[in-house]
Amino acid sequence: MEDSGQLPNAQNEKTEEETNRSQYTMSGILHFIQHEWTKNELDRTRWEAERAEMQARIAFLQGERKGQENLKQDLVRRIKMLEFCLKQERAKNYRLTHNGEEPPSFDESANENSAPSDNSHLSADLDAYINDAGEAGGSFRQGRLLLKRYLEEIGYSEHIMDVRSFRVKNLLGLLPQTDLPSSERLNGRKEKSDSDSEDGHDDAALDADASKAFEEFDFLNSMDVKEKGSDADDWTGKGASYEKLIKQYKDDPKVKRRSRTSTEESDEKTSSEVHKNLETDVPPGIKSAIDASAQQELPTRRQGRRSANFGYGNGNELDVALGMQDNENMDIKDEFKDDDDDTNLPPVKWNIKVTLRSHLDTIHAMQFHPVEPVLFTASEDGLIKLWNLDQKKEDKHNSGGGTELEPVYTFRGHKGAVLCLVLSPTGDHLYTGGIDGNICCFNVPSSNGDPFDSYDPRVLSETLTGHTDAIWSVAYHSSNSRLVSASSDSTIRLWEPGNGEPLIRTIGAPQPGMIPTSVDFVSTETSHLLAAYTQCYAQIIDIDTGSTVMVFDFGPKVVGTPTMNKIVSHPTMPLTLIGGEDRTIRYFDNTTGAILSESLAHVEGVSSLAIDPNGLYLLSGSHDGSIRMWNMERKTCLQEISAHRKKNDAAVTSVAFHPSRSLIGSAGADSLAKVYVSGSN
Amino acid sequence: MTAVAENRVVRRNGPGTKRADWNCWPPLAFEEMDSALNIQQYIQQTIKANPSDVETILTPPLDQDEGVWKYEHLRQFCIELNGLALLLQRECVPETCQQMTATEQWIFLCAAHKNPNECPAIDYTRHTLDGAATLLNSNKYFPSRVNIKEISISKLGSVARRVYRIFSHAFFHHRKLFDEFENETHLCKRFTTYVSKYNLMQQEHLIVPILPNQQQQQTAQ
Repeated sequence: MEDSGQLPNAQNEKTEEETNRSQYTMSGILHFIQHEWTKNELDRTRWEAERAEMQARIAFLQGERKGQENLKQDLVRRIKMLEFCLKQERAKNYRLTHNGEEPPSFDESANENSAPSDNSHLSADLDAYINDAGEAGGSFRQGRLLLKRYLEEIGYSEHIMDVRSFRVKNLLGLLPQTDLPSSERLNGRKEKSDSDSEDGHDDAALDADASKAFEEFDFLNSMDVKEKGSDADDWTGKGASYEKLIKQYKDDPKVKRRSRTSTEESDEKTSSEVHKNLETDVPPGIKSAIDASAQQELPTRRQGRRSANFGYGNGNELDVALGMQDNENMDIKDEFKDDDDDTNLPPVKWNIKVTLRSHLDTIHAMQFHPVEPVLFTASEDGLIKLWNLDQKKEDKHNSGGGTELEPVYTFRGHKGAVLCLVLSPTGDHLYTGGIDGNICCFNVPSSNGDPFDSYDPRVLSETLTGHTDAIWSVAYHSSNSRLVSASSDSTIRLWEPGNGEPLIRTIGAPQPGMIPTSVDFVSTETSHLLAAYTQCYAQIIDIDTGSTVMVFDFGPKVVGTPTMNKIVSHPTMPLTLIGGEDRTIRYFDNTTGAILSESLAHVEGVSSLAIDPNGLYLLSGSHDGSIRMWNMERKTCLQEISAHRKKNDAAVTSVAFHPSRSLIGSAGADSLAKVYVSGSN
Repeated sequence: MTAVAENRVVRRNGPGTKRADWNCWPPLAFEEMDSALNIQQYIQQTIKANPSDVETILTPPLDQDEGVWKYEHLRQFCIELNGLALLLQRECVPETCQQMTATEQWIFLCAAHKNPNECPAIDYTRHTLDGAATLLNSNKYFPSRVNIKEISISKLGSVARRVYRIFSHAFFHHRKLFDEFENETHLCKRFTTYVSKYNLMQQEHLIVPILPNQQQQQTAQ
């Protein structure tokens, strides 16, 4: 307070001249000014604070958008990767089928030409890339190499094409259709983002956001594993590389810097920016394709959004399609959830859990234990094997090759191929039919036993003889312990195992020459039996009398007289499903016998069907090598898995649902059985 | 069943196929088998054509990788040996065959266990076949049926040696059953020719006199 010395003089002057005026003292004025100044200062600080807050918000929103863009970029890269592998494989396949000629330059665009050179130094660079944390391309290459090896192993490409187009459709199907709203939202966000942002906030926001984005990425990754899942070993390696990719992304300063400096104004700029980002770490082949697609993008944006043809002629189409989805990726999860809410169903994506290798020839039938995680498979090698899927994977026996799941028990009872099997509802008894015309009744031993225990002849409790030709289907009647068998001697027989005279009734073919192929009990009417036949015929039989209750009417669309391969009853409704050699799955009404629906389900004959215990999903297997999961109500395909390789013209022979656990299985002509689990586990 | 759809032969045994029609389709030239399991297809096709024509069955197609050829044949032997095991299951009980023997010279110990075990003959048979199936399907040794590593090929010899004992046990202890099986499948003859051709076993271990030269040796002794 330096004023204090002068203060008395000033005060005296003022009191003399302006005594009438109210007390405007120097000190009062100064005080007032001081006060006002402080107030202004305060206001200013508040505004500063507000401004900082707004900037933080802007930074957050910007970061969010960047995170989504990076997610999208990853997706584009992944699609490109798959596409590239596919092209490689196609070229290879062409060489193989055309005696090593180079493929004629079908659509060899710039990206194709530069790709092989990239490939040539691939193996040499691989080790270096693995340890190079700053280079996302390393794990990309590694992943691609693994993928390539896998593709080589499975040896076919047509199915891959199918899978890809289905996959892409599926992916796009998951993406939202809300073109306009989201772009509006995006524009609004951009106006805000014009001001400068503060780095600290930005980083934090981005990190949080990026990790969120990667949660989605994980979800996609698991989808991917399932899609290519037939060789689990390769994919564990791949999964690791993706983890690395994620880590690299998080550590990558480049990505963050880009996100801070972005001030683009329009949709068009956004997408080209994304492509610019991509250039930083994609191989040249892919890069050029992306450039091309960026140029193409604008004109095609409106028209080709969901182009139905994902044929491999136009490699950029995919980019375009995805590029258009550009800023909408952020809604993947929401949309997915909405879809689930519609139907009250959990998301169903099945991933391979284990491949069961022990049979030496085509597996013809499989069934899960009613309760336990136990599986039975019957094969053309004459054996039925019991698998415990929860078995401790320890190397108990020096004959085995390390830590693989081995069968717990091997049933021997048939001479030659075993064609069908059925379990009693308790899982204690197993009934199998074979090409030898016999039915073997087994007592199921413990699923935790030693596979190399000594032989107990009591396991095979009874052999039912009577059929004179191969037995193709058996069904077990749960309430009265009776067994029905369908044989190519044209008869269906009803048995009562354990009875002195087991054969109760023989039901002949409805017309001469017809052979029953598949039998199942009607779930809603237990004395009724469903029977499918060769020559496009199927009926309901009353097993108490042996008479026909209803003949299914196949309608006018049937071409020729295809064999009906598999008949199954809906678990809760009077509904029957039949899979036919004519690639069609048909739905019938049990009360009228009329056809309710038919759909061309596969590329080749449908060999097997299974319905989940709640009757919501249908699983079909076909000789085209794939299994497909269907939504029963909507009759839409939810997922396709390339499951088994062909031997001769046979591929998938059997599919199954676990009655009480979320496990499905498939078995095929390649001697393998596969078990899949749902969702993320 | 050879269902003809669109003038195309469909080579699969669909439901309803009669036993007589099993695998009964026009033979396909090896070059036209484009599946990854073509060797198995080819072997089974030639066996189906004439199971007694051992020479033809064991003649590989031109330029065939020998490792895969040997491997697929051994798989096929194991498949068919299940038929013999089934027959043995009927009459080879621990009471009569307490040990796995052929001649009096050797008692074979079962290699399926951690410590080789003196299993009864029927158990030895079952364990050996199950163990062979596991080994031939092992991801470690035989991850692929198209490319087989040289080191894995060496495993085939020990599998062959063990499963051969099933033949020899059946021959020396269940002769009637053996003859019944052999007349139908010619499996022992094919197996003996196979191991001799590819040198998977030593001649002195091939004790079942099934080939003409083996029979001559026996009469000479």
